[in-house]
Amino acid sequence: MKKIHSNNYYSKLKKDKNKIKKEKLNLKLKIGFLLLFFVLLFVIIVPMTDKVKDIQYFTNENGSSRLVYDFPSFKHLLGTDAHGRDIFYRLAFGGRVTLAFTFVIVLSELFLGFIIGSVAGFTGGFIDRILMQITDMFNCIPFLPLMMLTAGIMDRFNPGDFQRIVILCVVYSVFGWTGFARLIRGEILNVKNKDFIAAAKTSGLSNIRIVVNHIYPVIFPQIIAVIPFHFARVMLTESALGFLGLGIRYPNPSWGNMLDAMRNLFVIKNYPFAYIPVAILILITTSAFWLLGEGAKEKLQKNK
Amino acid sequence: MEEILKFKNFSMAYNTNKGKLIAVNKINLSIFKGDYIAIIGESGCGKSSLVTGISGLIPKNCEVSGEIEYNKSSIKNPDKFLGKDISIIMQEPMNAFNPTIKILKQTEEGLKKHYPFMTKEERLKRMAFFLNKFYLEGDVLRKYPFQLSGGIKQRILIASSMMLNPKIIVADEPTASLDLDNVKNVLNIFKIYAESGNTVILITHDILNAFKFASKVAVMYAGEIVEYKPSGEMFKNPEHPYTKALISCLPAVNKNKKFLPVVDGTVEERYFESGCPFYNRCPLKKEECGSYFKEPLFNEYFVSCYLYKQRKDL
Repeated sequence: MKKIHSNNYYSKLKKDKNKIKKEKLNLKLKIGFLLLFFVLLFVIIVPMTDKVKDIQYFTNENGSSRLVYDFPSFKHLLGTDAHGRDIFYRLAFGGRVTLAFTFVIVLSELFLGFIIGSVAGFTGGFIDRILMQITDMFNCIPFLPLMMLTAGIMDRFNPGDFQRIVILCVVYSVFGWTGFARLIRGEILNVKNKDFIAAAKTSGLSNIRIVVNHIYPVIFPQIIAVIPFHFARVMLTESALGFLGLGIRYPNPSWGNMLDAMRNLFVIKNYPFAYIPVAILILITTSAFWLLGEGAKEKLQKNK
Repeated sequence: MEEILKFKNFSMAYNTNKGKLIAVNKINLSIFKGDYIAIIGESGCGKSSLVTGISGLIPKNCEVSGEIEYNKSSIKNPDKFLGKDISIIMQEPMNAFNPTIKILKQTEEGLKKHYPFMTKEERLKRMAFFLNKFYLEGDVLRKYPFQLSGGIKQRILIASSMMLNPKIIVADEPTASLDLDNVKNVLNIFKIYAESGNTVILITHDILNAFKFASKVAVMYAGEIVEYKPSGEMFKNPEHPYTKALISCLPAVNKNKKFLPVVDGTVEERYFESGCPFYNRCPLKKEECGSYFKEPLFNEYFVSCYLYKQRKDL
């Protein structure tokens, strides 16, 4: 019988690193990351140049508030909007607001969804039933009337710009976590009865440790594949809210309320530069997220 | 000798579509410190159910009655005891590891939980020492479970439950996927571990090794322990007809052995309450065997058979 000297093999243990070839990113993931990178670059770098005032106040020489759409020129790269504000800079600032809005909402929804879904899925039984009933209740609430109600209440108290955004975020994520909670609960139910969870239990680990260390690593890929789609959805919803005037208000820019210009048929006919760049940017960003989601899905299926 | 684990009228029954299925039927057994007990019996006789009963990971459709006592306190909430006091080696090594986490992290977790003041260096050394006992190299720890073979996983499982230094090891078929040299090694390590004052409960189909290494053997049939004795004594002089049948079924190289005609037939449910469950397969049966009243047996060693009912020394 061979016998291995323990010192020798302890050193081996220290040195050896497991070498598994990591698969390269597929095309969809690559393009998605590239597009998202450019959008983020635009959104981060452009506002750093010293043109901050242009997004909120008039710049034309007359100084009046009549309808003035300036066509694209060297002074204003993409022209100006109805109040003479530079569209290029508003795009960048609005992108900041919109992207931050979506990131915060998705993260807080994930947080709530993870907590509620994990508790419901892992404990099961009575608690599970009650939590899922609550989830269904939240699912029943119609979204658009809710946002109209929120906007109405907010207008009464007249909060500041930043507070308005925070309140919108809170309302959105309080009523939007249900999808993640259901998904995570389902995935946990799938994993919970596997043999390795029973094995972890027999070595005396606590429930929280089992959920965090043994269940989450298994279900993470499935959830990561869903998150980008959710990003796209939240961003489109923000744009729709802005278009309806329920989201972020003038003079603060966001991609949603820049689409507001499209409500006027005269503008649609005569000044296409007022809304086409925003539409294109929204399209690029959502399709980047979509590509990321699809690419992640494909990669996971390959790994299986 | 100190009593460490005691079954008091312990029984388990599963609710299935066809009705109640009794897996463990009123077991009374005391296990002492230093015991190395092998539980043998045919598949489906309730050995693994007994393990789930000890571990407390009881499925929802299972009803439990009776008690298991650890150190004279009832195991109502076995989570407290699992790991450091009672360590359980699961039956299927292929599914016992989380496929997404490296072996190092999984084996380390138990040590982290039960020995929180151990440094990382000490943990690694301890793991290396115990893996070395089972002829494993340290680089095993740097791998994912799917990169290892079944036998290696099985040995890692045994090592990782032994490195917690538990009072009782319950091993559910730990040698099913091992080579003969490894089987001998594992059972020998268990023997040394039991001799040092701990307890090992071994569930196995490998009857010959069970008799060779274990100090006591319990034979299970239809959820009951039909015979419980020191291993040498039982091998020389088996008394219950089922034990006799099992031992006569062992392969012998040079002899042309006659097999007893006990292999066909199944358990009938009416014998769970009274009468012998082995009745319709037994070659030595009498008329009273089908209906006699079974008294619970509290002796240290016993044979649960009508033919030996009058004998009080067992």
